[in-house]
Amino acid sequence: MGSIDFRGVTPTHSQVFSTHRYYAEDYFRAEIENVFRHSWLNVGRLSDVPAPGDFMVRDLHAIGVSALIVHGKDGKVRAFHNVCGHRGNKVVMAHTRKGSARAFNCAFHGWVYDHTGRLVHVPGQHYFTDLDPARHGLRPIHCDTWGGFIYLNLADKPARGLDEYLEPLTSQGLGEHLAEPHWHRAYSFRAEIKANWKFVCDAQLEGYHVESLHARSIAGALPCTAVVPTIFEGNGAVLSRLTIHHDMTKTTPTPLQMLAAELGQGGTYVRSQVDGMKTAHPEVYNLEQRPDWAFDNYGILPNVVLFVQGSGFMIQRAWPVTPQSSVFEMDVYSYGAPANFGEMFNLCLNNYNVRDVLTEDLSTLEHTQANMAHGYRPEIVFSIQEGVLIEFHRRLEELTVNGPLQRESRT
Amino acid sequence: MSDTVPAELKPLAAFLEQWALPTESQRIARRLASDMQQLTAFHDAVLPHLRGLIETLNRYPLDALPAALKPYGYLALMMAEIDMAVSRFHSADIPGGFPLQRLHLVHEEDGSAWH
Repeated sequence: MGSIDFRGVTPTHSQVFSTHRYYAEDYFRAEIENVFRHSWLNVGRLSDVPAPGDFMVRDLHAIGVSALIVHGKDGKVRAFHNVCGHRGNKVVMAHTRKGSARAFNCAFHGWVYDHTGRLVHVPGQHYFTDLDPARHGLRPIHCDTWGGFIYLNLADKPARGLDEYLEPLTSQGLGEHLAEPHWHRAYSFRAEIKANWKFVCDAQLEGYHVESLHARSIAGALPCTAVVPTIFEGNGAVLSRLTIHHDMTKTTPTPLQMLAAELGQGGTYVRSQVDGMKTAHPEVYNLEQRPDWAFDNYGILPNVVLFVQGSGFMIQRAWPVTPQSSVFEMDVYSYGAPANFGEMFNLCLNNYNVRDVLTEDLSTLEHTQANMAHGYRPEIVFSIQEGVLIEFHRRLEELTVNGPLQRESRT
Repeated sequence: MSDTVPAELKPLAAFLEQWALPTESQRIARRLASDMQQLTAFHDAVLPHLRGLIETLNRYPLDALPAALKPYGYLALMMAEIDMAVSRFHSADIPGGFPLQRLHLVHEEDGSAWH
């Protein structure tokens, strides 16, 4: 796989863009069917179901699935439609998001399934004539892991395997890096946003907004001139990399950021001044080995932005709910759990800083959505600095309009 | 011994009642309910002691922090909560920002290890 190019190309042109894609009902339905139901979907981490018997439920109603994800006794992680083979009730009810179970017992009539989805017990089986248990087991969903993440694919037969789907990041070695066991979930937050899911993605796939939208918070440390957009050629799911550098001449940490940097692990907006801080494999993420490198973010179709730093990573997911609403998710991971209060202080300072800055990113979405839905602005325009967005929407459009079969036949 | 508060933390005791809040949600609520004068006064008074506070708490493993010291940890996390409000936004909330109250905090770093 050494021939796979993970350097990419630089955007070269701006483009006018039609806005109906952000609110039209039929377009939204086509996105669900042709994109979301035929893509690998990042739904969590293996550390969410760390031990055999652990399970979690992911309800993605707009996409038409309640997924039961199970860490089997054989160590394999599987996913099933959370639908009983008897009368179609949810086997694990919605209020139980995570847990550990020896088997799954449907509350309606007590049908029992094992960790492999097999129907293993039917109370009063003699009430049924010629019941074939093999026909009524839990229906599997394609499930695989990459970089410690759990991915699902709702297609009958996924067009490509997950390692290939995530090229060139697989060849870059990023999957192995992110799969290491030391990663620790430091923070998670969610928000219901009254805006199309693509606006949530758009917000993180360009650096042009930084000078203005983040003028108060981070523009001095991470100016848009320090954001280098790269597009991976072809029609792959891994769309882009934004490389973000600190502007060393203008970086003025807050007093607390300065203290944190002197005491220990740095964060998204400040570099640690302590030698030998926890980090690993810089060659797989800081590709140019630049000392002023801050972080990269990777745009991954359909709905993920993955932020990779030396001492941590963050993943943003944008889930469609209706044409004009979505769910935003952000999970933050650090290199190891904090061992003392100082380490926790540094993690929390970074978490709260990131959270505050993200509320600036989220601030425009609902206003923009309302404006688009009124139809007064049938076109918007993306700059060269926003070139990743042009490519993001081009690839989505191809999948949405042409459908997954077209995609498979081309590859 | 473990429940006595070291002398270097004594100057901070006066702030505990109002500012030592155990959860992020409570600290956000306190931040948003305060005006800039209150936030700045608290921030500027605690800042000179913050390094000493952290170094004192670092003498213990996180999961063995004496109960009497935990409120001082909450105080430090309140400082982290208002870092950008005081030093960047000059406003308790994020000007024009998506409301902090609309974020669902599903996993707080400070929510499990040492309560």
